[in-house]
This record gives sequence, C-alpha cells and structure tokens, in this order.
Amino acid sequence: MSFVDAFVAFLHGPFGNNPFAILAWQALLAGAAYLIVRLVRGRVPRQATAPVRLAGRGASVVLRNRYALLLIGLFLPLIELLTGGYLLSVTYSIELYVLLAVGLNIVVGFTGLLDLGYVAFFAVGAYVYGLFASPQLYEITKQTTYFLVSQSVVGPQPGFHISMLVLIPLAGAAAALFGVLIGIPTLRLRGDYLAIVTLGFGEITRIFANNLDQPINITNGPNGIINIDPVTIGSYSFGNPANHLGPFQIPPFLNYYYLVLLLILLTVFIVSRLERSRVGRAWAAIREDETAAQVAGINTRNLKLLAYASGGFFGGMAGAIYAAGQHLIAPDSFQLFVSILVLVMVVAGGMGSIPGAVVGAIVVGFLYFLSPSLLYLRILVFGGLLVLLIIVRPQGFLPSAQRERELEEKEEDPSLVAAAPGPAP
Amino acid sequence: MQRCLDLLTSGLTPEGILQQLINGVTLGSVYALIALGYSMVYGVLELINFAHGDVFMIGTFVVLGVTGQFGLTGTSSLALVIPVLLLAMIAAMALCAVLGFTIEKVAYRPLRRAPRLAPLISAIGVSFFLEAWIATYVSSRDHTLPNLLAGDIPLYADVTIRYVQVLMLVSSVVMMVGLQQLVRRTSLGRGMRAVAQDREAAELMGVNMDRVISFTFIIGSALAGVAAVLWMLNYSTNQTIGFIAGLKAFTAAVIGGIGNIPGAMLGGFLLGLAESLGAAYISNASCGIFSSAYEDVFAFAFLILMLVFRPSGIMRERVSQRA
Repeated sequence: MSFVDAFVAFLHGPFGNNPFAILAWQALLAGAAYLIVRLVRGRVPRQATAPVRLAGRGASVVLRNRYALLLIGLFLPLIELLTGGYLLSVTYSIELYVLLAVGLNIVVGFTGLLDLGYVAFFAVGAYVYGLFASPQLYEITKQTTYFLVSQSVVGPQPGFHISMLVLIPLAGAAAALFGVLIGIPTLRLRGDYLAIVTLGFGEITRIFANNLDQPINITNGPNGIINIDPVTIGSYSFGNPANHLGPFQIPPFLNYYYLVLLLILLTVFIVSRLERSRVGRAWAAIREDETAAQVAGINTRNLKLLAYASGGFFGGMAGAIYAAGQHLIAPDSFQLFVSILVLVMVVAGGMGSIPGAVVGAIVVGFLYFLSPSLLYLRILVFGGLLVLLIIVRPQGFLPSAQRERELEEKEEDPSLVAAAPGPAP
Repeated sequence: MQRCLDLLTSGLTPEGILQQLINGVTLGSVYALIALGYSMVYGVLELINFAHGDVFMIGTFVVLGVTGQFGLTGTSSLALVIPVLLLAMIAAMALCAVLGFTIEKVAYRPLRRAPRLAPLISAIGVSFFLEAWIATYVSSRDHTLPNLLAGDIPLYADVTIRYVQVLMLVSSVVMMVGLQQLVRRTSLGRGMRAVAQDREAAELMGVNMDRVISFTFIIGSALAGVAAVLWMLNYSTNQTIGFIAGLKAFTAAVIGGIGNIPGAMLGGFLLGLAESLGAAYISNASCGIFSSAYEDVFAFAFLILMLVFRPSGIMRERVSQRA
C-alpha cells in the first residue's frame, strides 16, 4: 500500500461509501485538527519549534536570493534526471507557469487590474506558433480556392515553417495586440467587474478555438493543431530524443527547460527594469488610486493598455514554447483553470513582487502537480490547501516591501505602534 | 445571399418564438434565484462569492439524493411526488444554508481585513474543493430526475407551457417577493442595507455585523437550495454545473444592477431569454457561421456590452465607481 493509497483511505474514512458518512468523518478530522492547533498554539516551548523556524528562515533567505535561485534552477533538472523523467516534466511545466505568473503580475500586481482570462494570451501565443510552424495553414488553403498561398509554401513540408527566433517574439506580439484589443472595451471597468469580463474573454477565446473548424478550418476545432515543429537551432532539434552529449542522452524536456530558464531570466530582467521605470511608477499610481493618478497627469488609458500588452507579451511567448514542446495544442489545454492557477500563484507569492511571483509559481506549482494525481483528489487537496494558505498568509510568501508597509499601516496593530520609535520623552 | 435570407426566415414562426420566450423566462427564473445569492453577498461584502454556484450544485445533489431515497419515477402519483419534492426542497435549503454559513465562517471571515484579492482566492479554493469533493465521493457523471410533473397547458396554437415551468416561475417569483419583504421590513433586512451602504458606520450604529453577514450567506444559500430543486425538475446536473450556472447567475446579477433584488430577477429573465433565443436562432441568423456551440459566447458578449455601456446595471442601484 503506497503512501497515496493510505492517504486516500484515510480521507475516505472507515464508514463505507455513503457521502454523508464520509462527510461526517472528514468533519470529525477537521474538528480534531482545529482543536489540536488551538491546544498546541502558544504551549509548545520555543526550543521545540526552533528547527522549523530556522528552516523557514533559511528557505526564505535562499528564495530571496536570486543567485541561489538561479543556481537551483541550473542544477535541479540534472538531479531530477537521476530520478527518471517525470519530475523533470513537472519542473518544466512549472517553469512555463513562472513565465505566466511574472507576466500576469504586471497586470494584477503592478497595475491592480484583476485579470481572470490570462489564459487567452497563452492560447493566442500557442496558436500563432501552431499555425506558422505546422502543416495546418496548408490544410486550410486546400479547402478554399485560394491556392496562391499554398503553392508558394509547398516545399518539402507543406505549410509555413518559420524559425522560432521569429515566431516566439511574433507570438508575444500577437498576444500583446490581443491584450490591447481586450483592454480597450474594459478601460472603464474596475475590480470585480473587470475580473468577470476578462474571464468572459478568456472563455470566448477558448470557445472560438474550439469551433473555428467551420466554416473555414483554422484551428482544427476540438482536435487541435498537430505536427507542430519542435524548436530547432541550426541542425539541432530540441524535440529529438536521440540527442546525445558525450555518453549522456539529452531528453527533449531538458532542452526546453534551459530555453525557458533563459527566457525567465530575460523576462525577470526586463520586468524588474519596467517596475522601477517611470512606467512602473505610473502603474503603481494607477493601482493605488486611479482617479488621483489621472489628476496627477498620468495617461491612465495608455498605461493600462500597456500593462495588458506587456502582460500579454510574456503570456504569448510562454504559449509559443508550450506549443513547440508539446507538438500539438488543443483548446482543452486553455481552460479557465489555467488562468486561475496563475492568479493563485501571483497572489500566493505576494502581489506586485517579482520574486513573489516566481516563488509563488514554484510553490503552488509543486503543490498542484505533486498532490496525488488521482482524478479529482488532486483538485480536492489543492482547493483545501489554497484556502489554508491564504488564511495563514494573506499577504503572500514574499510580498513587495512597499506593499507590506502599506498593510502594516492599515492594520494599526498596537504592537507595531508601541515598537515604533516615538518622540523622546 | 438568398440562401441566407431563406435560412433566416425559415425558422422564424410566431409559435416558435413564443415557445422560446417561455423556455427562456423559466430558465431565467432559476438564474435569478441564484443571482440573488451573489447580489446579496456582493452588496454586503463587495466579494464575488465564487463558491455560491457550487453551493447550488451541492443542492442539486441533495435533491437527487432525497428523491432517490423515495424511489420516485415518472409514473409516481402526485400524492407522493409533491410531499417528496417539498421535503427535497427543505433538505436542500437547510444543507445549503449550513454550507453557506460554514464557508463564510471558515474561508471568508478570517480574511475580512486581508488584501482585497485574498478572499477571492479563498473562494476559488472552496469552489474547487466542493467540486472535487462531489466528483470524488459522490459521482462525476450527469444526472437527471425522471419527468416528475409531466403534462402541459396549451397556450396558443401548438405553444405549450409545461407544469414544471409554471412551478419554476411561480416559486421563484414568490421567493423573490418574500426576500424583498424581508430586506425592506425586518430589522435584519435593515441591518443588511446598512452594512451594504457603509460597513463601519453600520457597526457604530449598533448593527451586529458578523450576524448580518452570516444571515446574508444563510439566506442566499437557502435560495440556492430552492433554485436547485427547480433546476432539477427541468435540467440535468453534474459536479461542474455550479460553475456554469453560477457564472450565468452572476452575469444576471450584474445586468440587473448588483445589490438590487428586482434587478437580479430582471437580469435573470433577460439572460435566460438571450440564451434560449440565441441557441435557437443564432445558426440561422448568422447564415450557419455560428453554431449553437457559440451559445456561451453570446452570454458573455451580452455581459461585456452591458458592463461597458451601462456598468451600474439596468436598475442602477449603486455607483459604478465603487465596483
């Protein structure tokens, strides 16, 4: 009996399959856990918890140090290779989520625009790559009378096959344009209304991808686009499982892993410059008080559109690499769930903080991908942990220093007031 | 071009349109009941209670369970069907109310002073948890009730309204009128309106805010329980229904002007109409380009247009700046 089986059996309880019996058992468990926490809190001697606190502080120091993070990022996949390919593929997925989280952080964290449809950008990027690096466009032209295009592109492989060096930025640019298009009608909206509208745009994108096999087959409907080219540099194909470095075989995921790592570094560099630029300060002003920002002479319209565009750009790039790594894309991969997962990463990490977004994506990503992957149990555990996480640490793991200060001011905690240096008596 | 015109006019008969109107209004009445839960919570806490749709979903499963216990079939006599349905409604209302109360207490109350997005994340977590719980321990398939109240009333030509639809309409209107009276006339309702207007001032005036918020969740969730019974009379359920129905109900609440009870009702009817007319005529009206697969696109497009051009909703309850 594996650990997961034992865990499942434990959650299921000893009273059979009746949902009410299971509910009663789980309520009992939750109650017991709550009581234990209540009893234990404040009674455990400090020495006993010292190792835990020390580990927490150590983790925090490591996670705040970008060089340590980079070192882990460089060598983690090599260690993971020793344990077989699964962990590496999980880590690669999480990397894509890191890219998405850093991008969404621009929209939600910097500018304060709650976007629940971020997956749309990811989808646009993936479809742009998919269309221009697969036989799909040739398939379209076969159905219509416009043979001109198809004749010009029928080579050894029909369809467009543009290099990734062009295509990845192009996918980003297309997603950025899409961001502006979504942004224009929603400029007047704020807060939760904006969330619902962006959610709607995300779903609309997916529904269109799902149904645009008629009247002209553009996206190939629910089956998605297949035979997408892997990333190639010169004659080195990232998707070729037979690549070798000396005696070591290089699995495709490893190639993509380092490609995305490079992109993450580039993205974090650009975004942290943006944050400290005039634009970044204007975004922060819009987040804090849009009306005041406008009065202060900030062009809120253009800057909000710029936030959508730059957020979209990174999402689109992530989508393009995703398409290349998977070889196929289908509308089902662009469910609302992805948007929500990315948002959770940003909020759990600490909104508006770039290290927060990175660490949030890593922690939440591992939580999600490594929870027992039994059909629905994973989401059950994930949902429960999410609530717990946000209640224990509502400001996120690594909130930006500025944000943290604001929160402290707002709370007016008496202990903080007492600790603050007062005027000399 | 001629073909398109033919297509457009071929499906359009007065009878067909009338039938779709009836279907739309009954569907909308259920949306409206769910919308009230969103509307009330948003009014009091300014929080999109993402888990509300899932409370409704749990309600539909309670209804399934109760009717299953009594072995109702399509041929059961009315003397059995009506008490069982009443029992199912009471059970669903009670369970949903307890659930709503618990969710608020566990997942939202500790976050009342947290950053604005924290409760939303918590709500999403609860929503996932409930959906996965049902899928893991109850069922992840589609379920329908047998046709319990068969029969219909002929209205005009071959247009009919089914008994079930009459029941849906009447009960949702009764519930809404009842709720309106509750909010207008009782001290609890006064407290809710006060908290919605200004939380701090209400507290200073002696309103027990925790109690008001708890009751808001209890009432909203109980209404979701009623909606669950009505929904099950005519539609099917599975663990994801909460998200879809919830999203539409929220749309209805926004269309009508969030925080406004008659507005939620109006919004629900409008959305139900848009959906059923859209599903029936979009394919022909767009010359076959858009199939009924785009149904949800139109619901969202409707919401987006509404928010862009009239963000305070039809009934204009609150100022858009606050949202």
